Amino acid sequence: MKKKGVILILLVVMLGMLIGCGKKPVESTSVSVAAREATKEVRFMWWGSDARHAATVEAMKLFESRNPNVKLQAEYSGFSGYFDKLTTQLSAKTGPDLVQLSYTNVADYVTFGQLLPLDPFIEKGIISVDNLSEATLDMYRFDGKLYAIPAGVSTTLLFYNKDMFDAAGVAYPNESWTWNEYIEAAKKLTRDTNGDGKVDVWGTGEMAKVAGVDMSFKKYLYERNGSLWTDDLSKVAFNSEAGVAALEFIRSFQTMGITPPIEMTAANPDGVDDFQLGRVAMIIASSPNTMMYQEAVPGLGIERVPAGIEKDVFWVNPSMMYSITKDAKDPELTASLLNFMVNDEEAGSILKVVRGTPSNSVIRANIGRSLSPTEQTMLACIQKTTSTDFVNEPFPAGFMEIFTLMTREIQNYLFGKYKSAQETLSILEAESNKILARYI
Amino acid sequence: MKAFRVKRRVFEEEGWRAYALLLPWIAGVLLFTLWPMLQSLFLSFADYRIYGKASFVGLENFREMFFEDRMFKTSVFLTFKYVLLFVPIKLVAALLVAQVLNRNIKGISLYRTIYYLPSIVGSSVAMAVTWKMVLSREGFVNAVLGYLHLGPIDFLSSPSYALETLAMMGAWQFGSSMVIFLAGLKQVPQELYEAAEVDGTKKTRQFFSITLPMISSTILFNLVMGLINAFQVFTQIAVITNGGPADSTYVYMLHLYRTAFVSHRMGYSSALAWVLTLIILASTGLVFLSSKRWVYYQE
Repeated sequence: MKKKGVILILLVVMLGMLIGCGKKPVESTSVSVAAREATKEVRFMWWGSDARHAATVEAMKLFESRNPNVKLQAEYSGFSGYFDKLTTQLSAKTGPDLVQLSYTNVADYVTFGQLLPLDPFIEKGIISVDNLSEATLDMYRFDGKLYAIPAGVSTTLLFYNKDMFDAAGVAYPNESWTWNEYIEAAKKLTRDTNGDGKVDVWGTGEMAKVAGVDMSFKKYLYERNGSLWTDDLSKVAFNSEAGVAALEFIRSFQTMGITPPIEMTAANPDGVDDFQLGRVAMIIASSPNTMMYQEAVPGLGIERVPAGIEKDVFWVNPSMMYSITKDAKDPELTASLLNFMVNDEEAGSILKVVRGTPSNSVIRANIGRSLSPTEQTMLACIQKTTSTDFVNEPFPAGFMEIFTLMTREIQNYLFGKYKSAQETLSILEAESNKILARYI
Repeated sequence: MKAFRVKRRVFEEEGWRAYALLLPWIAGVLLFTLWPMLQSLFLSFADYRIYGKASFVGLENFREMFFEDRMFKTSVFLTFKYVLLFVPIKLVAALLVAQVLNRNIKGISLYRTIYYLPSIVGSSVAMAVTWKMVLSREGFVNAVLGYLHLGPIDFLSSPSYALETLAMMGAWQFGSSMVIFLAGLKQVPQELYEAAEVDGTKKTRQFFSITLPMISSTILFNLVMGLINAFQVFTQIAVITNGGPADSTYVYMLHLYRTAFVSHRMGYSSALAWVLTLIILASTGLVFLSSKRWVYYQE
């Protein structure tokens, strides 16, 4: 009887723990110092990692100390589930005031009428766009109205492991590298380092998740004079010779054996890639990964991505966007918080590069000094990467869905589910056009 | 007898008390189960993009599902495959363990608790993440295989094993079926076994000729519950493989979830939900029909 009692208590305790686990921690904290006399409240919602949370909350405290009658509400979480939550809140008309969006999905929310145009605030002088790239802003104008402001800029960079290059006796990458030199180096870097007869270090890593669209496939497509969409963004245009060649180029890394088998890469935990695991000597990834890589890889080197096969294609993407939702209770106050996040120099020195390299050119120049040597190299590489004659394509509404679809189908192609690149692209074209049609 | 009757009358006279106490539950069912269900039934005939209003489209969602949606067919096929793997493994495991635990060993209740634990913790996200790590290339299982000079096996990242691995992983939570089997086994009259012993029947024969028929109604119950759960498998797969690799674990609920929360097509996903309901209804219906042939009720 006693034993049963003990077990019962144990079970109850465990159940209690489970219930505790089941509930997601409410990742919402008030950063208010003057909550009592607070009269106005602004909710700011974003996703990110701990570094971003800490810096953002600190910057928000600064804003509050300057505006004692304002109480800011920080609502932050990781990336997974972020947009589910946002969409649900917006459809229930309880969305945040200021929101961080992906640079790819602003159009979705504009189509559904969930965002406020920012032009009135710019006219009133609440938001300044003087130090921001006009070309980037233009990607977020719909019917002539601006709906989002970039928080930072980012691009793809070539990250490499100096120790592995030294061990294989291969010269480090330089800014004039072409894809051929990249592939030659990758072949030499693919080695069996422990002598068991099996390759354990590969030349380069495929990005299982981003193999999709706007990093690799898009660059390879543009290099071959292709484009993703028709001019009016109503249909896809990637089912072309350039598209086939781009997809085959991605696959060729596997057939040459200079990248780990896809089964191995697909088994990596979320957010961890082959480069961090010390399995590959090089990887092409997004510039904000620098922060992550400099901790995981001691001898981290950074260089510009190799030049294109037919032409050089480099561009800078916005990293994330700030928008004001239609649910904003005090749009002007929200706009001044947005302006503070983007243009305030003191805020800039707190936020540093937590949302990519700052989009404000003055702040970008200022923070350079306070960064680690690796981060400074990254900054220099981003400057090198800016191509003057290249115009990025805007993202049509529905792009997030297409992005998910393409990531999945290109992975299917790499797994050998489809016979050819052509078959993959035909499926992608049909499905993507269906998605685009739903947003018109 | 008399006391009972008195009590009953009081209850009837003051029936409102019972209803008052039941009110939270009744309100919960009406507001949070029945009403959303009716809404989703309506939405399954509508185009509803979460923002704005729903517009009635008749049977359009169902037409699209059966004639245009290529992932619908894939997901139905994979879900049936999962069900056919998961349910038998789970039932056999539960019955075997129940059979072993159905005797008087010292500390038996401790063992029962241990075997029951997975079904409490098993479906949580934390457990799914743990499994993912245990079965990864650098994980525990491959480390053991490495010592035996086997593998490594990409349990979850190879399209040929992923669904099978997930089915085994799900079957690991056999605890609740096991407890029900245990209760069933306890009901089997000892005399039958004693009579069989006297006749010199072997243990395996006893199991198939006495135990199985006597607990056939328990098997039916566990089978039906297992089916219902298996068709709705979601959490583990969403967390561990999210449909990959190469769509090899893209089960029905994932398709439903993506339609709702990636494509924001609440109408279409409601239609998907109702089709799943019909599939489950039909499958359990078939099981019930067939049960007349194999379930034995002591009466």
